[in-house]
Amino acid sequence: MNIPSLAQTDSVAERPRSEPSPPEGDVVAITLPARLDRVRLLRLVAAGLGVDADLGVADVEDLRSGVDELSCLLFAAARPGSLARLRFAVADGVVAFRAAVARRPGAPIEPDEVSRLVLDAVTDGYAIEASAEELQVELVRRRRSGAPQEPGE
Amino acid sequence: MDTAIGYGFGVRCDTASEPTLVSVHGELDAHTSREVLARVTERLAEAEGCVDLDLSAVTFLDSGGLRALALLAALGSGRRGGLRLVDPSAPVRRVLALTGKSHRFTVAP
Repeated sequence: MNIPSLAQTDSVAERPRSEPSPPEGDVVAITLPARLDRVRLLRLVAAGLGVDADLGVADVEDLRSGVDELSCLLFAAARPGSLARLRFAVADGVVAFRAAVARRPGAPIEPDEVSRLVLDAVTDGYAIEASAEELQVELVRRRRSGAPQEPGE
Repeated sequence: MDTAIGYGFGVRCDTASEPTLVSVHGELDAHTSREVLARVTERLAEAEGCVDLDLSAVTFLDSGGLRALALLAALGSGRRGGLRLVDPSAPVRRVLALTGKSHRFTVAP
């Protein structure tokens, strides 16, 4: 995952107990319209990549929720008609997600209380960075529960 | 009366039942919750008594969907009968548990 860091940030919301860090592994990059009706597609991608990373069933559900929360925050703050750039990095037992959009002037960039509670519960770390022009989000989710069992086990 | 906005999401209103029953199926998120807000607000304004919101077929809930449910519960609390969440699915119960917001809702059963 190689989205450049922002030179200047005017606000950062960050979960302190774990820094998101990209795993070594496959990268899946997506560009799509920054609209809320497209978040469902990202949930599908997140679930598929979570399975590829051998996350457990509960982990995959958490990853899906985390990607949804940050994507909704991102898209709600995006400049109308803009594209979002998103990257998933996948390795055994871990998926990292990073996304960026052109920021609508004055758009809120902090998750509300409910969204923060969800993000705290379902991620192993997330971060939100904003400049006047751009908004970036990222999260990492590692395997907590057991890997999916093979049929018959 | 059904409303479907794609991706298997839909809202069904049964105004002939007593109490009025609104059923949601599919993924309830920041996008689809707008439809639920509109339809249930309409039912709350028109129904004589309680409005039941059947969530047994909801396959995903995010904070946007939960905010919509909380808003509807608040709207319902100001009128006779109110709003009840009926048979919330596992994904709904999961988010209620994660956020500790169950106390905001009347849940049946």
